[in-house]
Amino acid sequence: MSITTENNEKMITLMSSDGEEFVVEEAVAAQSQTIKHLIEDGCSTEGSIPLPNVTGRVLSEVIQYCKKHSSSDDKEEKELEAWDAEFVKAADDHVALTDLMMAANFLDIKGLLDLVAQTLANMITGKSPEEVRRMWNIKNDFTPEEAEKVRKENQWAFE
Amino acid sequence: MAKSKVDGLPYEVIDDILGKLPAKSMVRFMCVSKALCTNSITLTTLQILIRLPAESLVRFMCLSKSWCNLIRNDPSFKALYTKTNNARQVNPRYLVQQTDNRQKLKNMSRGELKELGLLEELEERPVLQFFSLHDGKDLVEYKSFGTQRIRDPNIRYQKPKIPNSRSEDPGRDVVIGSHNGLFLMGDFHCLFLWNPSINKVRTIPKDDFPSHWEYMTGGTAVGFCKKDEEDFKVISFGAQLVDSSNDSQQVQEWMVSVYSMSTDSWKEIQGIYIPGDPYNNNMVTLDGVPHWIATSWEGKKIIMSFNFDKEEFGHIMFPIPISIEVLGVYKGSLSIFKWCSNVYRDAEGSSRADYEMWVLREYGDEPIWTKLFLFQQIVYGIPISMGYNGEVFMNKAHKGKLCRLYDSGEVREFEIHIDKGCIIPYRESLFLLGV
Repeated sequence: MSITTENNEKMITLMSSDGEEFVVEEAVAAQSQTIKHLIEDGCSTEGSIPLPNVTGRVLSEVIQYCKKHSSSDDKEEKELEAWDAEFVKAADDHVALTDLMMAANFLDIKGLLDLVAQTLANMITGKSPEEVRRMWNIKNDFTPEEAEKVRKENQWAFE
Repeated sequence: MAKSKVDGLPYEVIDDILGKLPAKSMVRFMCVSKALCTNSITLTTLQILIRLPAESLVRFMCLSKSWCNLIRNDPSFKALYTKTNNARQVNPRYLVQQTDNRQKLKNMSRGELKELGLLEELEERPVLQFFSLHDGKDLVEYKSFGTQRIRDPNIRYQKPKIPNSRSEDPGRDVVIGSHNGLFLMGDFHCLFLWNPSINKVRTIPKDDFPSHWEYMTGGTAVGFCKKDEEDFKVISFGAQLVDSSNDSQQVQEWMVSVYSMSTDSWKEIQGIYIPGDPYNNNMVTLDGVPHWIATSWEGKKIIMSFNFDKEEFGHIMFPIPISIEVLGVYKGSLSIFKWCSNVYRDAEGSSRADYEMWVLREYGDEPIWTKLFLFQQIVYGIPISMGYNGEVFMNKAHKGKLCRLYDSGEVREFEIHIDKGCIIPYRESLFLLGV
């Protein structure tokens, strides 16, 4: 359904995977290329836009980001950077950030994807392979001999 | 329904994302990597990996087989990593080569040096220092090497020297050129490609060296063909001095050779036109094509280039006369930073001058140059190198100190002392890994 506010902003409704509905200005939602294309294709005229890969908790964070970035212009670059830094800090841990990044990827929001991916990259830059495996629950499928071989090839990176 | 977990990331999206994304995004992501379809590395993992320093990637190769395959063996991942690093403006890196003092010591034997207690100093002294830019402000050294550490252990360390008949300046006597994170280094006893970010060296066979190598004026540079960016090529050309019957006369015979990493051999290219004689210490490679400042046969300063695809030289004229200049790449375009006024003294007695930065907007028969910036009343110095984001490094007159100019016009001094040497911007890449 399309609602129009007092100042004539077109509103659209987004529905998260767990059924939560969010009513946002079209300009805010259109920060997502995925949603923008859906709107252009006329998917927003009836009912809400379902986002089956994004939970309500994550979607509210994404909307927070989009609101901030649709209302700021270039002059406020410094302030926006500081806001971004606070924003990823608030996401707290790598699980929340991973969720956020998957949402940014699915919704195709380049700025948010860059921001979160870089934050995660910085987080694991100095970590050992064991720590990263634990962090993301990655299975070590090398035999001990294979692992030793790969490690030996590039011993310097472990020193 | 059980969620599939791919590599531990809760990844129920590979089908979902690829199935539901707008077709344009889908196509864009599909071509990112073969691994996306055949391996279990996910889009999200990929987005993180391309933002990691190369050293971390090398360490993470032993995380799992799919990570190892992607990082070490997937050419499209290497290409994407390079592209991402090239597009990013954050965290530029510079290699600084110090060559001071070595000149004085070059004639001494190891025994003499040991007696004087200098051997250790000479070997321990970092000759290559790596700097990264912190917060866009300060250069911070993060690692350094003595040259011998990066050498192929089979090659005896020798005072490196690039044959350059024109000048005694050893500015580039170890580092010859760089492109996409690879450095071409050597002297006339050895030549090798080196990726400092992942510590890999590829020696270029010396048995095969072009015969003119020892007598060269000409130039040497690294680049690649557009069709295969992983097959690095080296061009080396120069004049062989041929003794004629009369001692006072020497006939110059120009020769051109190209080395290809895939075939690991040199081939001689005959009968091509060489537009001029380049200054070896002023060369950059852009999109696989090396460019030099050169003197044309009519005595004019030109920019000459070598196209590895067509195997031919090209040249570009500059609209106004140039002197005291440096060739560089500014935000993806070929550029020239040049001195453009008389030097004068300010109230405090320091020498100042004006400089301009030009970029090449279009190649072709009628090249289009645009003057981008004018820097007025800058402390006089010799420009020695340009970074990728409009920074210029100047050697302050006779002090061996560097200062950096920003495209905003701001000038900042550094505490890197370079008496003789060079500073080369580079970006990390994964080339030579798994080769």
